[in-house]
Amino acid sequence: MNSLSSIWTWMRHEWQLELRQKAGIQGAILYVLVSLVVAYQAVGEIQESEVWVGLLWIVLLFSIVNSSSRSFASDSPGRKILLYFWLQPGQLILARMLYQMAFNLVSGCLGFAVFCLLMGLPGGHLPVLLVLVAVGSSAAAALGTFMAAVASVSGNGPGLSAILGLPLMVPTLMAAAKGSLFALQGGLAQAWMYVGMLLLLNLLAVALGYLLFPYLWRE
Amino acid sequence: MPNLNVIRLLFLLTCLPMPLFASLPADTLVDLNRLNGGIRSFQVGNCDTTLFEVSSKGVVLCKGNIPASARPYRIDIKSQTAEGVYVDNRIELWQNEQHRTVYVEANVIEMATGMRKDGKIWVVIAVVFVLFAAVLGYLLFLQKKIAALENKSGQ
Amino acid sequence: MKTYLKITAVAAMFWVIPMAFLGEVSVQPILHETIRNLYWHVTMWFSMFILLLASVVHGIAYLRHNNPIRDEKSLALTQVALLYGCIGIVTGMIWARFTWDTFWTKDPQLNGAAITILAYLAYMVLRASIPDARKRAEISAVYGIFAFVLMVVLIVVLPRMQDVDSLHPGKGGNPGFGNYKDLKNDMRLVFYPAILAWTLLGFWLANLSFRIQHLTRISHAQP
Repeated sequence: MNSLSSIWTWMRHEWQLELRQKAGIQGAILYVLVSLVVAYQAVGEIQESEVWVGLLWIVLLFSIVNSSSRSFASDSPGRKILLYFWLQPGQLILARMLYQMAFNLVSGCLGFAVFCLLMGLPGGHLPVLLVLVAVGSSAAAALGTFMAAVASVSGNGPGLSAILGLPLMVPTLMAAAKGSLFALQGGLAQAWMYVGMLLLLNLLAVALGYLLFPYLWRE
Repeated sequence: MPNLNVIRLLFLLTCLPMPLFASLPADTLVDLNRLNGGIRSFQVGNCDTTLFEVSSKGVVLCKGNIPASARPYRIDIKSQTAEGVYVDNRIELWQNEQHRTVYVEANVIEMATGMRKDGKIWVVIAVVFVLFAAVLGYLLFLQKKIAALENKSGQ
Repeated sequence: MKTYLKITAVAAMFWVIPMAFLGEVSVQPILHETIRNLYWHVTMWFSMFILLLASVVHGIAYLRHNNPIRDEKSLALTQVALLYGCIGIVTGMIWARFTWDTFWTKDPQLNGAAITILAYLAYMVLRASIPDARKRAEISAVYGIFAFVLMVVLIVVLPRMQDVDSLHPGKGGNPGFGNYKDLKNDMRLVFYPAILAWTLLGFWLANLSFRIQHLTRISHAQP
């Protein structure tokens, strides 16, 4: 299909742009590592599940917000005009959202791995946790991307995208944190229920973004 | 005026049915009728229905074996006595290897019927009415003013 | 706004105010007589929800036809909804102080309510940060839709997913207010008129607010 292939092409293009900008991937890795190291120095190995879950999701949130808010911020006005003519708005937002979701999925899982390495894993079922981290990060990333789009169209930059994005990311984070808590404390059935919830939130974010972005892009 | 009435009873039940409860079903924990001077009706709140059952006459029964646990099992029942007073009953049950222990606590739920009986409640209602009338008056005043402005700007 | 709706609002309030104090209510432990706050605090949240729904409807209508009046109405409704939300939180805190001995507690619905207020404050910030009227209208309509959908998830869906150990009615073994139909009374006879009254009053307030803002804008536009 023509639109699918153009989405895929654009996603590959985003990836190449990201590789070219040194600030991109290295910045994300640096954010995750630095926050983890600081947390480790302060707290050491964590035994209580609630503290573990809270810290994990704060660190992940930090890195997701940072990387997703950069997705629309680096568009110069010239590039915006170019994009306006090249791609349909739905394709653009899907490409950017899917790219950010994939990127944050991977970076979230890597961050989770380093977190487990440093802070230990107080019990818990590893596959479920991994799935929760993956789906949760991608849901939050989809929301963050859309809020970055809103902020860039309004012309006020990445600070606004954080203000807009964080309240809306709260349901995702709450679901992810509750699910992780259940996963650590042995309630596997409930944890899988939260995975389902996060998948729904993911779909909701992508669907709403796809439907609403054309109105934003008219500007 | 109903005064606060806290009853604490301690029953020691062994596994054998006591002759005291000969007229009641075996494995009775608590008979609310004996506790509150006779009840007219009751409403079961929190209760684990796999372990306990509250019969239609206000008798709390225990179904089968209760596992030994460090935490007491809790049953909340709200009952209305024959005089119409509401009582909140909390029944706590411990089970260990030797015996079962049942604590019952009953609190009368106070409502402000006194204030209503004295007629003081009308003062409260009147005050709220006055406040609402003031807000309403302001809304109507604003509405007239806006309508006048709209007419003026429309011409 | 139609006059009969305003009369209905006033009439409903005239019914609710005396009945809230005189009517028979369900007798519940912990709550005792404060259960009457149900008619004020909970009805606020329901009304806020309806007002936000109306705001989103106006937002969607704006996106389809680009009529700026729709955007102004959407803004006025959101402002009144924010006011109701703040009143809801304050009345909730007062209620909690007297029944649970604390102003706030860790409960999903309380969290959801607070985050909703935050999200709509962010909406106000967003509106304030865009000087161009047309752009502002488009962007806030889009954000309003997003915020509403996610808030529905936050307040309605998430708290039901698990039974938390909380004192808030409906959780941890406390009977939810759907179970307050006691032996003789029916609190719904006062509850539903109260929701009607607050919602219609909210629409009236939003209507007045919208007209004032509209007039101000027109008078500033003309030299």
